[in-house]
Amino acid sequence: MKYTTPIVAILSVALLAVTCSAEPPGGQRAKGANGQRRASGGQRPGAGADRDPKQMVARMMNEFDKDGDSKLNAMELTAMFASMRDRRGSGERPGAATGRTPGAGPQQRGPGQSGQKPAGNRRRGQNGDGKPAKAGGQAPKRPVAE
Amino acid sequence: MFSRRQILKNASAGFGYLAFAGLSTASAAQQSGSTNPLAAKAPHFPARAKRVIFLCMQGGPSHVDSFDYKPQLIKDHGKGGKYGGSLLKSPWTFRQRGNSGLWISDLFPNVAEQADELTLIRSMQCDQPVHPGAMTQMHTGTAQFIRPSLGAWSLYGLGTENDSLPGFVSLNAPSGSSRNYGSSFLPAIYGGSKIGRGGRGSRSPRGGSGESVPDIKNPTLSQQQQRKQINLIQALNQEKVRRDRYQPGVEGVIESFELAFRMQDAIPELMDTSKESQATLAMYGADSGPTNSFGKQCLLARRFVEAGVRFVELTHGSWDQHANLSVDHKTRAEACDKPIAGLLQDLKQRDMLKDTLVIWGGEFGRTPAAQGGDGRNHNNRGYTTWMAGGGVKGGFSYGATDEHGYESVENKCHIHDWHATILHLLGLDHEQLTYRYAGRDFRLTDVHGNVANDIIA
Amino acid sequence: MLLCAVIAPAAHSDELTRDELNFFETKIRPVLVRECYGCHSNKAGNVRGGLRLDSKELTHIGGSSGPAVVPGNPEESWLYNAITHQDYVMPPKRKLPQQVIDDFRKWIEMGAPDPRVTNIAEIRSSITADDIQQARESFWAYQIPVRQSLPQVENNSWTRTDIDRFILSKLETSGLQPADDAEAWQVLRRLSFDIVGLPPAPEQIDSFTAAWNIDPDGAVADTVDRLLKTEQFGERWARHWLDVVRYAESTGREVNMTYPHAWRYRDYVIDCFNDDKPFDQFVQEQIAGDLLPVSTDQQWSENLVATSFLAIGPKNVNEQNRVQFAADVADEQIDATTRVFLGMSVACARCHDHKFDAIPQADYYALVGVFRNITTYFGNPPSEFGAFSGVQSKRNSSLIRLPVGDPNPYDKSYSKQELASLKQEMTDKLQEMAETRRNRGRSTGTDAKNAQRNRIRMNNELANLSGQLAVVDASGNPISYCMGVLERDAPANTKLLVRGEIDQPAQVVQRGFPQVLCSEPVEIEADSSGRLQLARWIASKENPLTARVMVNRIWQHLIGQGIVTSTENFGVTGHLPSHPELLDQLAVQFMESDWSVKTLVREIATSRVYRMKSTFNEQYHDYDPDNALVWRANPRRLDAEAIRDAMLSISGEIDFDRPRGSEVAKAGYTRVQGGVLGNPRDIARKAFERAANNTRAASGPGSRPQFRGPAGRPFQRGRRGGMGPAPEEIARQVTNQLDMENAKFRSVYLPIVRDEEPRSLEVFDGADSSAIIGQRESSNTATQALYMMNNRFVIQQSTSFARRITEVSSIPAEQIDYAFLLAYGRKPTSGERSATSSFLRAFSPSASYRSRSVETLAALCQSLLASAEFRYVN
Repeated sequence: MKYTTPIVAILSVALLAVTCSAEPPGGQRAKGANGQRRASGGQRPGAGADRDPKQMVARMMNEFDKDGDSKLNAMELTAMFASMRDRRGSGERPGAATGRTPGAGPQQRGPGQSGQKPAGNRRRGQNGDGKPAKAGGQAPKRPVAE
Repeated sequence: MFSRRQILKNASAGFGYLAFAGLSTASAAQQSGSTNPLAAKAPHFPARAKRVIFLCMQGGPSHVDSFDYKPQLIKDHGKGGKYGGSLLKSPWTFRQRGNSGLWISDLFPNVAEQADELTLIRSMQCDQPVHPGAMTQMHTGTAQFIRPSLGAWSLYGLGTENDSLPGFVSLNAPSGSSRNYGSSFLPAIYGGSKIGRGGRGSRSPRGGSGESVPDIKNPTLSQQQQRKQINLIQALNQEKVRRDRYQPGVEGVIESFELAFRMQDAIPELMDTSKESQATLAMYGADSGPTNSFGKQCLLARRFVEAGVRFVELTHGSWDQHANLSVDHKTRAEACDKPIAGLLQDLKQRDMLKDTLVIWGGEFGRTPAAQGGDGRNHNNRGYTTWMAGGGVKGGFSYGATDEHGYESVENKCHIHDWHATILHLLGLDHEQLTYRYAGRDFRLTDVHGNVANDIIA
Repeated sequence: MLLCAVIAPAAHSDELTRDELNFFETKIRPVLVRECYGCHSNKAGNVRGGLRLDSKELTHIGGSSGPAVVPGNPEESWLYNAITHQDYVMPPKRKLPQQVIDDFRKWIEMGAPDPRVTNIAEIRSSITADDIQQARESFWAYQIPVRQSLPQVENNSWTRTDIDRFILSKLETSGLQPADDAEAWQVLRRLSFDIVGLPPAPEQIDSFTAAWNIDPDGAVADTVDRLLKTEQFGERWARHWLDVVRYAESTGREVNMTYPHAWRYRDYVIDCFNDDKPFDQFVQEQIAGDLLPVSTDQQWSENLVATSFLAIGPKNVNEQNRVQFAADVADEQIDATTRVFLGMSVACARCHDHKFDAIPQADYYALVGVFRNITTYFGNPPSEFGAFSGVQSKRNSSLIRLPVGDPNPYDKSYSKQELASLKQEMTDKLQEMAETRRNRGRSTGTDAKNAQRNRIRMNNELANLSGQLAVVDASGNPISYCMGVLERDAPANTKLLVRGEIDQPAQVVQRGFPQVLCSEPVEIEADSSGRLQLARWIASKENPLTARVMVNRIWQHLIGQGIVTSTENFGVTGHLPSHPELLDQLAVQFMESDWSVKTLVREIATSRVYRMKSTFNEQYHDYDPDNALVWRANPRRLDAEAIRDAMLSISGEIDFDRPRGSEVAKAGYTRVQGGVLGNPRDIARKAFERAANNTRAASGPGSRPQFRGPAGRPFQRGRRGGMGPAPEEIARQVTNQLDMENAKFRSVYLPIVRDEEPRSLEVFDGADSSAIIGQRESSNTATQALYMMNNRFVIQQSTSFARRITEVSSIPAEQIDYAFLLAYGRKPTSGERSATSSFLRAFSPSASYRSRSVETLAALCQSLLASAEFRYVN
């Protein structure tokens, strides 16, 4: 199909463009509520500081995010398409420098690993009251009849 | 809903620039010929700074971990704090920097290299312990009422150098913060314009060419056609103003169209950093890594002020580390440290630093006592901001907090004093820069404020 | 206001038996001190992973992964996990002797007795009972509203309703006269926008004007009645309510997860306003809908949906500390409930006594006791395989199953085979996961990194699969859910927290309500959380605030500002009412009319006050610049929804059908990233397919507006030399999802994703969906000008607007008249007529002759829409 080439470009670019969260955003502490916002520290800068997709995306961002707003707008996205299409032949990836580690990883470390907990692999879903959540959602208890 | 209330002593066309009646300067007479409220005006007295770049560190960076060296805090680590909790020494080492020997921590190594340009104001104070209130007070002088922001006052006092651009720009402003760059009762044209979409998720701009400012270009009409369209719009607007006799909102609309028309060309040109050298990009850290985003913003800030914008605000955060301070503060700092240093260097190289006032600070600081082990709570009684360029001393430390960093004890610099000083550096007397509204003369500093003369070179 | 803390220093071991204490002191504490305090204590100044182990409270709270110790449950205790080298490896680089590990296991199983407690016995407030009593008896807002006697006025012929008497009386006292009546078309325009959020149609203007000339009162009353019966009323007024309750379809904050079922609440609110559900009922349903007695399942379903009110607030789902998270959720719910319904900022008392109002810190924790006994549902249910949280989204939550099924047409269903294969895939992946876990210990270096990446990728896939399986029943049919809250078993009181800090508990506080509003302490049964009671108490006639606060809101939306201008603050720092007697009178009437919103709207809209002109009077303005006395009608800028809906209405493209669900519902439970919902690859693919379809569907000129490409050469949208749409266009569509430029339905149905609000709403001061917004801002910016000049939606609406005119006439003079009538509700003045005529002549489009007139007319239409008059209601 004639459209194949653009599709591939878009798909891979869209993937990269959107999984990119290279920088923690400006950080919206909640406003509005009059009470104290107990925002605890910002997000941990991503489990796995040297995750490959993230690195790739970070490189993309660096190269194509011209206005520094941490996003790729349509123009920048287009430029990326074009660049990817061009480089497809040479097998390079844009911004493919040797592994640069974007950002600092969190401090916690276990030996031998990058010390990350397995990204929430706990299979106990809890409702926050410690009770396991029911599969398929919580059926409510019927209130008294009117 | 706020209608701007303006008592028209000379009710003619009712245009916003009649507000200059409140501006008591000799050169006001010069302005009467001008019909553009944004036209550059002379200040009250010779200005040290012609423009401002305000680096707003949203969330409240910790002063005892960055610019307020407290050796006693290290010694008293673990002991009970004056206001409860147990004292937490800084995870970062403080060192003396530059010729001046200013103590700055390793949290900002690059900025620290520029220590000889900085004036640290280590005795800041504000009245609000929560973010929205403190941010509002930092920007407008009060949290209780809606008042014009510092940028709007600056613009009101000085106009701008380039009427194709908004005079007051907020790059990547956090969402919901319109009050902080708003004009309140000042004419709407003095309000800040948001450019970019900071704080919000990434949204691609609309408009045919997908520029960074949404809808910056018309997808179908030529410029002449558009001009004809705008002429018609303005004709309709003018008639409405005449009909209504008093309609500040509509005046705002009129002014906004003129500005918008000119912005269409001026903004894309400004946002296009492709002609900047690689060396420049590297200096800001705007080419890679965690500094990429803020680096680009600092670079844009320089371009904007270079193009004549009077007041540019950048926002970086969140610094609100109630927990995980040792990690998250570092991440925040890493993202902005090099860009800020790069900005100072770049301004210096272009000989712009001498009349560009760069301001850095958050809405409050953080407590010397720990919160939950590796966090600090808000501290509005004492914290640090710094300034560089625009007539302030270099390598200078002003004011002090108590031995742990809780509250300011020496040369206190309340937000009102801070505002007064900034206006002073811009050549404006904060007591004279007034605007008549609802029966009295208002000013940014209300009935307070003392200029911190010591910091002026 | 200082707090006095009485601190009893440590070692209150009265709850521990001698043996337990001994066990701890000999086997546990020394190990902790030796092996753990180095990195996890205050003394050492190190808090790795956010974890401190040097006090009982902190050990139970734990660090970024969760509680270090859960008494009785070693499997859930991260400390045990770490020392057995499961997910963590502690101490780093070595393993404790097996005996020690067994000791810890035993210790946890016996309930983890721990003497390391700092007992803060009691926080005493400095707000005394007398202070509260005094405020209760003397502060205006805490007195139950009473019926007022009607004031005397001089100009009796002017008044029509009681409202007029109250307003006129104050005007006359100040020596002011009310403004004249506005023109008929102005009144109609105002009524239309205020009641239904749309401009009046030309025919309606004609018939109204005719009726007005005969009998203005009758004309207004009939119009009000007509408008109140339409569904558009609910859509308009629900949006005001949604502003106030921080309605949104995502969590917001740094990790922005969708709320795919929030839209049910939106529709519920719209329906409530259309049905004129008694406001007290509305209140109770939102606070305690799960507990209200019902007679049908349908009613039960609706009530459950109503509790979404408590669940839709912003949430920090990557908050690592679950205790902190729970405290924050409760805080947000308390803040919303008290400010929305009562105009009280009780949440200010979380960390200290309220600095201004007579609300001690204990009052806040009394309410926490009520709100902590609920489970809030805002996420996605687990499947039979469990729940899988994403890397960032740490705080899981499930959803409530609706008693009455109501799936969306686009909800996925699976055949038996599909279901089976999904489950198989799940099982396989789990196996894979377990194997890599086992191999983990052996890999190093880059292998370790790869393994890490794989684990994360697999985890994400598992989360996706689980998410898909969770929401269908055993036959593969979609289950219907809603967000909301449910009561938990065994309600308990909570402890007051010093400075609001979760690791600083002080005394236990009984569940209760703010004392300043209760002449006697409220009695809550031991087995009840008190929430139903709270709901009934708020929605009662004995509550002095509820009716006043709502009446004030209704007044504000019709007159332009509230009688109390601080709509969420009826406390000491709020603003006093400009007309206290009027406020009370309306509050009483509101309650006595069975809390009917429509009745009050009718009352205000048919008053003489409402139909005054907005003419400026310099002298009056000097005296009362804020128009607190209401000497004229307040000119107002339309809100964003009204502007967009008006454009659609005028162009004729508006679609009054309610769209089913929302874009967010279609996307399902996913993270919002890069301005898109869900998997960007799917979105890109769909956008591409759409573009390809457009290409095929594009027929001859005239069926689609022609746009010019950047080079100035005309090209038909969707076609480009046969090679497919331009990349810019596709990229634009990829990120178009949340702006919904092509949507034609009413603005209230646009997706409201926090931090990604549609541009058409954002540009005209749409409400910040993370905040309680009683009154929107009204800015004037160059951004708005750019939007009206260049935005595609505006251009496209202008073109349709132009076409609509050409169908009526082709004579320029008539076209101009009709354009003004549609856009402004009136004929053009002579000045306007000449300006527009010359524009039509002078504007030279570069399109072909055939479309020239349409293009010029479209540009004219756009100018009318862009001008100030379109945005303002005078």
